[in-house]
Amino acid sequence: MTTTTTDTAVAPPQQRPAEGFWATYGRWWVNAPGSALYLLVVFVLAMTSIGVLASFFSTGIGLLVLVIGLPMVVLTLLIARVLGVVDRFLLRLTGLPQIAEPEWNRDAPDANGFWMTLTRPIRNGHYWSYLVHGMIVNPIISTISFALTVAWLSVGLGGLTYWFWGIFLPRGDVGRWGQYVADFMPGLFGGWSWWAVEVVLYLVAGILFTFTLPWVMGGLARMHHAIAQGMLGRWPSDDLAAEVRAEAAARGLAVQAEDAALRRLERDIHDGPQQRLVRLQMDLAALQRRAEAGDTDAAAELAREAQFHTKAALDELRALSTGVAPPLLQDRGLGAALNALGAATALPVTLDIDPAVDTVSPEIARTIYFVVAELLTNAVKHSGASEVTVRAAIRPATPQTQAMLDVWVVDNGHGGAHMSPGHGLEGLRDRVAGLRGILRVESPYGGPTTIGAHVPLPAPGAADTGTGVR
Amino acid sequence: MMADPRTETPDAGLRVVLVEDSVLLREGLVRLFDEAGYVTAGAFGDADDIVARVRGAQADVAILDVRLPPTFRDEGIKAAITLRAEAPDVGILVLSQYVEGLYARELLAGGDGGIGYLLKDRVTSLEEFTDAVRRVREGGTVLDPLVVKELLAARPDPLASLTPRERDVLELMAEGRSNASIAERLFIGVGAVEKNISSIFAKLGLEETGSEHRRVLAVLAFTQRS
Repeated sequence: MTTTTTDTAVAPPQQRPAEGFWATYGRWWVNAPGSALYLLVVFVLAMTSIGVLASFFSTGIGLLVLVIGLPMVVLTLLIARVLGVVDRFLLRLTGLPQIAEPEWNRDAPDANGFWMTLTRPIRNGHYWSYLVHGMIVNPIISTISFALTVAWLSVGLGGLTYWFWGIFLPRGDVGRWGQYVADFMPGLFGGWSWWAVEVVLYLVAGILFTFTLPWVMGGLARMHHAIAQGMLGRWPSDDLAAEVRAEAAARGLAVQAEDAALRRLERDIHDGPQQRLVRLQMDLAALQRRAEAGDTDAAAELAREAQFHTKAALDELRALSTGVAPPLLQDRGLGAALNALGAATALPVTLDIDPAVDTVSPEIARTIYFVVAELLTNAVKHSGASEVTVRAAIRPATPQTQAMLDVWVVDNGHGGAHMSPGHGLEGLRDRVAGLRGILRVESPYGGPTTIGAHVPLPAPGAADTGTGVR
Repeated sequence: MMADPRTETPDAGLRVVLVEDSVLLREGLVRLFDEAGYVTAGAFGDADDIVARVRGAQADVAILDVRLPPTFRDEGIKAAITLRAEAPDVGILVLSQYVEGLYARELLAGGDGGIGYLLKDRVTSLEEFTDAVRRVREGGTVLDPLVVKELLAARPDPLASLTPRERDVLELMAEGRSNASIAERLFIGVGAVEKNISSIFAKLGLEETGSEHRRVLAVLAFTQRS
């Protein structure tokens, strides 16, 4: 998960490209062929879109009174989405910045019923925006830009080469328009042959159009791009919606894990110390009766039994409270607790713990502690490993990413660990997901097994998690 | 409560300072001290100014809880370490609801014996409790059997070479007991204990050291080796 690509991709522009007219002009030329290709292809796409979408949409609307119209409209919206995505994909030809994927599902994570799923496109503004773009906006602008592109390409490239292909034109008496121009403007073309006039005029037009070609192509591409950015791209509210969804999903998993843990705890208390205390109460009552009756031997025997049950109850309670919150974790923080875990494992454990891990919040520390404890137990029981390494480190925040807590448990066993339903690893993944983190398992057959838990750390103070995503 | 001859201990008149934040347990422990014939020279709810308090009370032994105000974390451990450094002549017994190998190491690293670390459960047996107090008073070391078991459980491989008898001897040795005490507990002769101990030291590659405290430290160091 240690992606460093984001760091380099959005690195601050350290050496700015050379300034000056010709350098800038050259850069426009670089993207001109791609833009021209886009402008030609998008016209075909736009014509297809208007045909498909208009017929489907009008059919769907017309049938709305019958139930069949609703899925028809949904289908239209889905087609609009596909066509819009294709347009966004084609826009990459222009060399302009990529347009971010919108949030297609802005419902609550548990809104997965039949009607909610069916009507999801209808309730999401992005689909309608794609439909308007594909059915109305794109055909109009594509037609204009197609005309201009064809004009510029043909006049620009055709003008420059007229001296060659003009020779092959079939000509009657009326075909020599150079003659008329020369006659009309004798001051300029006096004495020129009609052919020379035609070649020169075509050449001048060709030079003008070719020179301006990159600006026209770039300008039209930018217009398409700007409109697509607004209609096909991500809206500022999408980040918030995505954040809310992720938050709700994480909360759901955390609640599930918490619920299961609480139920187990309740059962353990009931089966263990509670039974002991009931028995203790009975023994003490019996002891009182024996003592009052003066039977000291029986009283002493009952007292011994009472002590035994008290001790057992204490042992059980200690085991339970350690299971809920290990004392060392509470007292000394995550680093010390992980070190103690490593020391208590029946395999040689190499520990590499960043002291900064003690700064994470108690919930994160507790979850990570139990995840590592479980992973170490797994390594001892199932992996056949002869040694384990536990590494924990804080990855500092960058302008693009949140700070993360990274924990790896690596063993040199025979591998083959995998997530399967009901398997222990899945429970661990849910626990980590409850903190909005991820658990990654790499365990090829033959080993080694590398399991990484990566948990985002909330930025101290400001709640700027929304901007951190982009 | 009447001083029963059975509970009269050789340490009658021993001056004890108690630091325990729970009133319930403080009362219970003070009653236990009375029963053992100790003088409760002071009972406190926190470990503030522990050295001055122990000195002021002219205590022979200080008995401390681990979780104490203000943060209820490891104040008792820190106080014990301070006390060890400032007042080496006072025996220290740390009592806790749970035992941690890390704390055992920290406590024992501070000095040359006269320190103990026990589960609170152990005080239910008057005999066990007075035995522990006597040992720390005399400069010995007391380590809870549960800590010893936990620490040794992490090293199954090297320990597999020990015979069951040697394993028993190792555990008792790690609790800080003398050869005589080990012999008495296992119903064997002191000579047999000595033979077992030299065999253990040879098998685990430990250096034979003099005092009981040094032996405990050697076992602790062994459990940390990897």
